[in-house]
Amino acid sequence: MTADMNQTPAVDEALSVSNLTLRYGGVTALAGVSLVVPRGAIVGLIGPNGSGKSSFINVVSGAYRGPYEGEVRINGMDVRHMPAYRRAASGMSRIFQGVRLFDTLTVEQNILLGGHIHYSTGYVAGILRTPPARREMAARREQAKEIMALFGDRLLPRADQQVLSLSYANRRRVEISRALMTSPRLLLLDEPMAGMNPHETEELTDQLRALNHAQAMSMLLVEHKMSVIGDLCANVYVLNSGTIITQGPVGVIQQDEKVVEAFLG
Amino acid sequence: MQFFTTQLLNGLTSGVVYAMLAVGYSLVYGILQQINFAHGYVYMFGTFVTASLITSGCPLWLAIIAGLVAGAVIAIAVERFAYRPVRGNRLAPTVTAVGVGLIIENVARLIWTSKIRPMPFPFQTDIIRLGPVVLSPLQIVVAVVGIAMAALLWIIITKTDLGRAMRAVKDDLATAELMGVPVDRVVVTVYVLGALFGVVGGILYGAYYNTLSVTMGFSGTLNAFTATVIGGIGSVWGAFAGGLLLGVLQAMVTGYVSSALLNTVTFGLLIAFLLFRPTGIAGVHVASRP
Repeated sequence: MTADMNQTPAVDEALSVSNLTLRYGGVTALAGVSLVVPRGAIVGLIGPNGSGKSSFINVVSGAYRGPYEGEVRINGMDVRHMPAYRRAASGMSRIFQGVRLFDTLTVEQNILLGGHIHYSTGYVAGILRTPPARREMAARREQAKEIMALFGDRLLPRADQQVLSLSYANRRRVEISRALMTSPRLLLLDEPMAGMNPHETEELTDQLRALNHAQAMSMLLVEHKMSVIGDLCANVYVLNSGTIITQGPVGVIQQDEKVVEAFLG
Repeated sequence: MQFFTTQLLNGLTSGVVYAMLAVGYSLVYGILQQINFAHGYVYMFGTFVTASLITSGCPLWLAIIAGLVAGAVIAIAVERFAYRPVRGNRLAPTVTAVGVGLIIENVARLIWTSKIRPMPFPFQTDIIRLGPVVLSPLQIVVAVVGIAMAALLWIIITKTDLGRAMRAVKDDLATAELMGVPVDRVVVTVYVLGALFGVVGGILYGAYYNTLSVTMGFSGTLNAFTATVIGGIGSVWGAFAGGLLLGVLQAMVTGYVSSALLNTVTFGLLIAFLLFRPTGIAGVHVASRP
């Protein structure tokens, strides 16, 4: 681990984005976007399809590697030159608009993969199965079990199943568990409720709220279901055509004419 | 029956050697869908380092370690400069791999010349008789090393954090990196593992056939690559199965038909599998990633 990861500055902002501009060829996907996720808060990001929400998350998480203008700070660190895996190590993780799991791995193996960056014993010790490597592996498996337990009996009995055999909702739970295994202080959630029925949506909403309360985990939530945004987010940013058109509490932005126009055309 | 058993054991011995060489292809292809055409040259160089040191009086264990280190260092350089800059491109890695392979071979010619030489190695002369079966101690060494390396590979792939990361990179490289896997480090480790298996295979190959040549990178590659295709390119267990099958088949053809048909049978098998069973006996889909 590098020095800048160990010496994370104490800041009040889990995520701070200033004047982010992103162009794909001649298309401006994001134009001067500024957004802050205070430490311990859940912030919403909404907007019509094609407004730039996923582009924003891709830049922040490092999935997009090309040039951009502006500044992105995660837990106080400028991440412009930081590869994606080091952003994960610095306390940021994400889930994807469509669930992206490692299909040849089991539930437990998928979740354990999230802890990869925190292994301290190294590849050689792992291959030689030295006592410290065995202890670390046991500790990680215990941690994975605790994370699976957050979802009650949804994942624990299925720990050894291939993820392809799971229901969509359980695949989403595995993806969230894998993200939690990276020990994030900032979690980027790109439409986590997509494809879930009302009961599953309510259950996951409660679980995200519990995570936020119990671990003071900051979250940026991109979501189309306004009830979820209303339940979880104190502050919401509205993105339209790559520009933040307004921000504020859900009740306020829902009355904003610019927002109504953006969503209804 | 005695002749058959002897040929079978000869074939299995060759097969283990082919399998060790083939693992380098399958590991890399399994993860990156790239055929590592430089692999043969990398293990050739490592094998020559070991052979030279043994010839100069170096202890066997130290010579083997030096050969492994040489193979690993070259594999790291090849990955860094010939593969990584063109990763994701379909054609370019093949061109850069062949190019860097020829550079390695030319450097080897400068150091060791083009002369075919014997491989100095213990256990090459004695014979053990177990009833009707005739064995050389070297065959036992090859079998033991082969089983040990297969077990090591099984542990790495199924029991370690590295193996899990390798499988994750194979499934979805971009997501693996976003989840904190240092993909470049994992990939270079895969190249190094392939090179280590290759150098061990190269040493056993040289010792078993008691011949070394700087062209062994190419010739060894033909058998190893055929074994890889038979087994199912991308499957390390398929590589072992393909190596054993090819080794036994070659031994039977040599024993019962004619050694002149060896290459015909090998390439015939390669073409037949590519045409009629491109997924190999392990059934690995060759082009699973768009």
